[in-house]
Amino acid sequence: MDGQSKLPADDLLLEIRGLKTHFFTQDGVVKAVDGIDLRLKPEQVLGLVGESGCGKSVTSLSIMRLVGHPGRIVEGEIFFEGQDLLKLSEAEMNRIRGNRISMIFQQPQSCLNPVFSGGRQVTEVMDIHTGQPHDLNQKRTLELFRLVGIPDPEKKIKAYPHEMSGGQAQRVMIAMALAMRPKVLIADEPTTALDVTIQAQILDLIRDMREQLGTAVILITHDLGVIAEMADEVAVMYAGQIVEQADVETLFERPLHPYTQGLLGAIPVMGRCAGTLQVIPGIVPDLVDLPPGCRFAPRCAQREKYGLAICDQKMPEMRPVENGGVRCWLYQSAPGHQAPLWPRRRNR
Amino acid sequence: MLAYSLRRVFYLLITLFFTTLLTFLLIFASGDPAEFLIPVRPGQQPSQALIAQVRKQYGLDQPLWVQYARYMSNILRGNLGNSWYFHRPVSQLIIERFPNTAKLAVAIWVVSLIVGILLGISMAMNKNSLFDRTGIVLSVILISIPEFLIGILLIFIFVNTLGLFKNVDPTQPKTLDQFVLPVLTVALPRSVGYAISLRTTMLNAMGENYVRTARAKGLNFNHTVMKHVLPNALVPIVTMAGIDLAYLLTGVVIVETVFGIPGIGLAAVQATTQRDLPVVMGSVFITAVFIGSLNLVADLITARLDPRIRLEK
Repeated sequence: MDGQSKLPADDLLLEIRGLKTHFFTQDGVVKAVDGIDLRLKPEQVLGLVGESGCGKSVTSLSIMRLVGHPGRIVEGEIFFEGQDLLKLSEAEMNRIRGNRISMIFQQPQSCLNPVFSGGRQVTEVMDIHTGQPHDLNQKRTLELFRLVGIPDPEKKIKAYPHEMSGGQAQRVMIAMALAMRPKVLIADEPTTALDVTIQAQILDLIRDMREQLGTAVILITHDLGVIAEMADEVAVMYAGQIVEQADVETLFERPLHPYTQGLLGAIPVMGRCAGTLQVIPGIVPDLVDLPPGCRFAPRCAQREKYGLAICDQKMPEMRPVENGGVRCWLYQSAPGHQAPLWPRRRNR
Repeated sequence: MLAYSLRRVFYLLITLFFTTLLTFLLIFASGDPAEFLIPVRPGQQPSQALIAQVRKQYGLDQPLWVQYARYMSNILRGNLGNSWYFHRPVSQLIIERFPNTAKLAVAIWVVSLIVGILLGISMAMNKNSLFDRTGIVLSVILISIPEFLIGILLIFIFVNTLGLFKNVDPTQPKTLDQFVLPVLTVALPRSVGYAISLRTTMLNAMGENYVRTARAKGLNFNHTVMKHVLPNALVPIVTMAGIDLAYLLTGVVIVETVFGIPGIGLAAVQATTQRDLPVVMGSVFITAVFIGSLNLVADLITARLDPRIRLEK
C-alpha cells in the first residue's frame, strides 16, 4: 500500500485500477487490456461498450481471473469489498466466483454442459458454495427456475441444454449466476446470440433481478441500444483502453470522444432517412503493434479537421470532465499543444 | 432411451443376418468344398463318383438357399457344424479354447483401460509438461512397434535377461505370472492408445464454453476436469473400449501365437491354413456376435453418458 489515498473508496463495490491483461503469443504481446480503470457502485449497471476485439470480454474475464493461456494479468489492482482480487489465492478466488461475483456469457447453449440437465448445473453452484444438503439446493433450484421465468419448471429442470431454446438456456445461466445472490453480475454480451424479442425479455429479466436482489451489473455489449436501455454509467472501450466514461444521459446527449461520436452516428435512427449510414472508416489497430499516440488517431475525423499533430505522437491522458472523463487531445493541452475545444481548462 | 435400445438391438440382428450370409458364402469362396473334404495324395485326383458321394453326404448337392436355411437353423440351435480337420463339433472346439482367450482378453482390456485413462487424464491436466511430452513420444513409439516384436522384446528382457517367468508353460495358463508377459505385450500399446485419444478429447473439451462456466461457478480446476470435462471426453473412449473388448475376446492372434497360448485366435489361424472352413465360419460368426453385442453395450453406455446421442436418428 502506498498510502491511504490508494485505498478503495467506501462507496465503491468494485474498483479496477490500471488493469493490464496481455496475451503472450508467437506473433508478439497482444495488449488486449492496456491500463483500464473502472468503478462500480452497489446496485449500479455499468455498461462497457466497444467494437469486437477491443478488450471488453478480456476485462470481464480478468475480473473473474479466468483469462486462459497465453493471457496473463500483468499489472493492476481489482478491489472488491476491500480486497484486491489479484492478490487472492486460487482457493480464495474460487469462493468468490459464482458466489460474490458471477458471470453470464454469449451463446448460452454452449455455456451449459451438454451431458447434465440444466437443473443439475444450477444446483451445483449451491452445492459448491452453501454446504447445505443437496435436496435443499434442488428445491431452491426449482424456485430459481420459477424466479427467472422458465415455463413448466418442474419439467424443465430435467431438460438438457440441447432441449432448450437459446432464451431458456440464458435463463438457466441467469438462475445459476444469481443462485448465491452475488454482489456483482458480469453479463458478457448476454443477448447478442438471441432473437430480438428474446433479447428484450432477457434484458428485462436482468433488470428485474437487479431490483429484486440488489446485484450490481457490468453489462458488456457492442449494442448501444442495450446500453441506452439498461446502463446507469457507460465506459467506452477502444483498443484495450477506456476512451470515454460518463453517465448514460450525458454520454448520449454530449458524446465527447470522436470514437463515441462515431459509434452513436453509426446507429440507424427510425424514421430518419439519411441516405447512407454513417460509419467509422478504417479498422481497429493491431493490438501487438500499437501506434505511439492516441489509438484512435488513424481513424479519427476530428484530428484532420483540427489539424492536430500531437495525436500521432503522444497518448492523451484520461481527463476528468463533468459527469465522467475523456481521453482525447481535443480537450486537453500539453506543451506545444493547445486543446482546440475547451481551451479555458488548459491549466486545470 | 427404450426406443433407442430397441432400435440398436434391431440393427444388431440385421448385422448378424448379413454376417451369417457372408460366412455361409465363404464356403464356396475357394473352390468346390467337396474337393477339400477328400483326402488325396499329392498329384492324385479324386474320382468324380467319390466327389458326388461326398457332396451328397454333406448336402452340397442341394440348392444354395436350402443349404443356407439348414445352416441358419443349425446356428439357431447352437450347432456350428463339424470341423473337417478334427471331426468334432466347432462349438466344442471354440468352448474349449475360449477360457484361455477370455482371461487374456479381459486382463488386457482392464489393464489397458485403467492405465490408459489415468495416463490420459494426467497428460491432459499437465499439458505440455515434461511428463506430457515424454508420454506422447513413448506412446508413438509403443504404438508403432508391431505387437509380436513387443512380445519378443518382453521375453528377451524379462525371461532371458532378468530371469523372470522362466517356468511358465504357456499351453496351460493358470497362474497370474503366466499372464504377465502376454498381457503386457498387448496392453502396453493399447493403454497408450487410449491415453493419447483421451488426452486429445479432454483438451478439446477443456476449450469448450461450459468449462469456463464451471470455473466461473467457483469450481476448482481439478473438479472441473473430473466433473465437467471427463464425462464429455469419455464418450469416444467408451465406444473404442467396447469394440476393443470384442476384438480381444475373439482372439489375440499374435500374442497367442508368440506365447503359444491355445486360444480362439490361434485356432482360427490354424483353421484358415488348414482350410477347415466350418471352424473359420464358426469363429467369424462368434466374432460378429461378440463385436455386435459389445458395440451395442458401448452404445447404450455412451447414450447414458451423453443425452444427445439418445435422440439420434
